[in-house]
Amino acid sequence: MSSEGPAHTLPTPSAPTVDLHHVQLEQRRFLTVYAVLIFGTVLTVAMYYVHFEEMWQTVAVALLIAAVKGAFVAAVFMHLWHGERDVHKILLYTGVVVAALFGLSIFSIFNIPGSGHLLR
Amino acid sequence: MNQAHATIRYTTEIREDTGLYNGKLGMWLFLASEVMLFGALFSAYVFLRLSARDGEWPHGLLNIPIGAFNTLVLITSSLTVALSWTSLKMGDFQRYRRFQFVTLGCATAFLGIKSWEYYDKFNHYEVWLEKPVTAKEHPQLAGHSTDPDAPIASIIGHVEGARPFTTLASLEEAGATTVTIHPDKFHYRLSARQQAERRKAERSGEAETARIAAESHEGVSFDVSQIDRLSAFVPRHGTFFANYFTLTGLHALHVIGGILAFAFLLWPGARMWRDDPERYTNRVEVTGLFWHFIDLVWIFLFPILYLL
Repeated sequence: MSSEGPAHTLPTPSAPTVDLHHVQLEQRRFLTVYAVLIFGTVLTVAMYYVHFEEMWQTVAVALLIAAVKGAFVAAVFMHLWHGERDVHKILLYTGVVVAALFGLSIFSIFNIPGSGHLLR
Repeated sequence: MNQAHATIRYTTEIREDTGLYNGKLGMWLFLASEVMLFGALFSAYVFLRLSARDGEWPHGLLNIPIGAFNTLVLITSSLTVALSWTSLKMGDFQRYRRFQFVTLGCATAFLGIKSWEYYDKFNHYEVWLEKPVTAKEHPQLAGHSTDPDAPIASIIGHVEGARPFTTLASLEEAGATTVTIHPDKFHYRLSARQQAERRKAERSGEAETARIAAESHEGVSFDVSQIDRLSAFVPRHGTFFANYFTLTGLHALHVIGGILAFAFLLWPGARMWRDDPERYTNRVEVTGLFWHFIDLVWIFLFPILYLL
């Protein structure tokens, strides 16, 4: 190993810098997201009982609501909104892999005859 | 080994090159691998769903109100985890404890409800017949088709004398010569829309066939030789339940893992709060990240399994 000057110097242990106002703001944000999630769940179920003309429309809207709910959880509960750049980078790579995995399901149109009708 | 090397660094201080403390980086890398694990299973499920012929994919076999309630339970636990972390940020350990008790309560409730759902599925049967019958021949099956003359190839309901995982072979071994089924009001081959319409008609007393099915508590009996196959709603039932149990089972294992981690932090691991409160708070934060991820997975599992 080369000695490139002083390694990361250990910062002096600081007392937890509590910005009370900031924490309280964060708490309010959590509660707002909670309300959104509850609303989204109720909406999903209500929509299922009312349902649209076509099944796929119902499913599409249900998945859209799930995506919005998921985005709120990731952005606020998991602090991705104000998150660190490196976390975003990790998730970007992960997203590419997952998108590729989901892309594979397009091959279901080559599956047994009469299948893949949802894609046509 | 000198003392400086024995100290674990970057437990609280930010590493310059990553901009994170190490625990958080580790948790995010772990979650990235988890996303790919669940992503593979989700995409396999979507692939199988898209490959199913019309009318072959089950509808209405899962209990939507129960699933929705469980969603709310898990969302609530996610909120209390987030609030317990802010409690520690404010230095209020007792408040943190109270929120985490609610979290553990919700997590246990979630598993309890899920177990009840599993138990219910284990005792629910589908019986495939050698030759289709009609609702005209067996009025008890009125709920299984919209047309009394339409062939019914399989019956779902409760099988008399069957226990979880009973098969036709095990019934025959036990000396059964006939199989009595108490049919459900609806068959999954009816679309979700048809089922909903019939429920509505049933409530308003309009549908004659649905009314007969609703009032009939009689079983319908078949000779063993008339039956091709029977299975409870367990993985061997078919593609849907194989996926359902794989996905929800893996998710439930994560919930158990989360409970163990939170319980550790709440009891044996709590000493760290005295010695190094900032590091302890970070541990709660990264465990919370894991918990929110479990919540996130369920947010997608619920519509995909219960509604798709």
